[in-house]
Amino acid sequence: MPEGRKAAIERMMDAYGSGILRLCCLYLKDYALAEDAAQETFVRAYRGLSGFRAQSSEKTWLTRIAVNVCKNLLRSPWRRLTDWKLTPEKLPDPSCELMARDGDVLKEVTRLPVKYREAILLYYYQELSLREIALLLNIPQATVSTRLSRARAMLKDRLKGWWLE
Amino acid sequence: MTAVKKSLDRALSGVEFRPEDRRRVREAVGKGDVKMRRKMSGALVFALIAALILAGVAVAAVITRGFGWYAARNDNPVEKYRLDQLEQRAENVESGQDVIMDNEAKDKLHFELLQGYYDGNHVNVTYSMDAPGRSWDATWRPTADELAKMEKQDGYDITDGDSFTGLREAIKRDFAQTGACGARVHGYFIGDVVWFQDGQHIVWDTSEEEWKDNTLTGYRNYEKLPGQAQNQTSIQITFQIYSYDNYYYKDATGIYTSEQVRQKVKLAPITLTRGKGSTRTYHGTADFEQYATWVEAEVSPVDVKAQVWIRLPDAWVTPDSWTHSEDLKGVDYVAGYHLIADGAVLEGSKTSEGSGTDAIEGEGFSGEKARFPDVFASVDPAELYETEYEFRGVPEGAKELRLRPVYSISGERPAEDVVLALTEAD
Repeated sequence: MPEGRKAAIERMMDAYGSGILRLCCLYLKDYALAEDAAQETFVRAYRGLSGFRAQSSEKTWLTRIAVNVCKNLLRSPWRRLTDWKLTPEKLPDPSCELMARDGDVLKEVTRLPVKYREAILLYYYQELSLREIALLLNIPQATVSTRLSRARAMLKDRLKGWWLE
Repeated sequence: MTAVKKSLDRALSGVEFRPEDRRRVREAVGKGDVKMRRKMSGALVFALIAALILAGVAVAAVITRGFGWYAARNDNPVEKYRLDQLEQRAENVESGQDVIMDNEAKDKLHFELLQGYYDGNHVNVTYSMDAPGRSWDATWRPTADELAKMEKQDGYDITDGDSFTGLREAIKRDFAQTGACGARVHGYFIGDVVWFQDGQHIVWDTSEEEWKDNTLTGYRNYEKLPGQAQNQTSIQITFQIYSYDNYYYKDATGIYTSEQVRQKVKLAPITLTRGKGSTRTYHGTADFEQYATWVEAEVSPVDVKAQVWIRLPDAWVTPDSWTHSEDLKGVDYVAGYHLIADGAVLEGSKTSEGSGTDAIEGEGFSGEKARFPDVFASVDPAELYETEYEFRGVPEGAKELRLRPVYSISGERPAEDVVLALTEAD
């Protein structure tokens, strides 16, 4: 690796820090926990840098780590029994003006069951390809398509008049 | 950029990876660990420092809650058989470790790995943990500031009440008398993950746990091991223990909860020696007028896990999947499989006779070959459907396995068996 590990992780935190934190926030529906998850993602990335052989993009690699960290956190007994909700009021004040239905989109996306939420977040929010998502989650590409299609159907009902594409 | 991304980015525009977050990453990288949990109310935060682990004290004890104990009370035939087999094959590890937690009371925990089984591909364990510091305090009430930070729950009542004797009754009584009740619950759990020396980890597939008098006992069957941990003469595994505080409050306005993981402690590694029996992988195919099937089966004396890919006629498929559904009423389609070893049926937990309407939940499997076995390299997996089945283990010495389709109306069809010769693994 041409740059030192610490320099590499600093660069990655610059480039992807906020994106990973936001992904964790949407995944976990909890800002405080998301901060921990994002930090742990970069710590694990630091430890795993020597094993990163650029077979996927840095962003996909970090996303994979973040998803695994979030999944582990969701396994805690308390989490499993609690239906957490993420609303704009629970987040730091936005730095730009919100549009009329932004709160609805946030609410409905985070209301999806985790496997559908995961598909929507990775495809529409992280803008990964179906193939990248399939590899990242270790599931067939067609399963990703099916989950996306079902998630879209759920959101279509709940977000009438709003376009996903 | 999609409209979803734009909308979510606006809503999350105040969420930034701050210098504070970066500092914590730098610190953790320097120290080799991450400090977790720092939010919640300042009044609730205790110092998180180091844990003292006194490792490696083997304690000779009678294993009263080994695999056999769980087998005796399990109703699922596949799980019961697996646990019975594990009881016969597992190593009595009896490796105990004391852990002193970093709280005011310096709670002393004792974790003991009772039994372990490593067959080269999978790990199964039974364990116990004494946590005398588990406690609850039903006099706890949030300050206004703390309450504002708690999550309001819909139709949700206190968790974990059954494992803390008296808690549920205490809060009910308080609510009846004063119109409000609350509790702080201090407890422990063993992380779902088991770690290997190279930093890789796996989570459990099936498990059972029970608290009794501040002692937790349980078993776990873990998912397939990562490549580097397979087929070794021994492996080292590491568990992690978490301490947490959960907060609960209920008044006329609703129910509120919050949680705080206080500390996590990685235990010292425990060595498992490879035991008797192994998992071997077999492949088979069958091609008929209506459909074709490709099978990969992981076969062991403990259990059989069969992955089935099938090319289906249109009449068997509902809009998104190959599944039992009202849409397929009146259609005679493959609804499950029986597994037969040298003429004897091995019970399955996911056959047409087993779990009813959820017996098949096949999802489309097109294009991506990552999970499609190399031995079927000439097959284009596009439009295949994929399902998983689990059966009890195969008796030693068995020579042949047959995966027999069971149709939704006409039942078994032996003529369509997928035959796996148990001579040499593929």
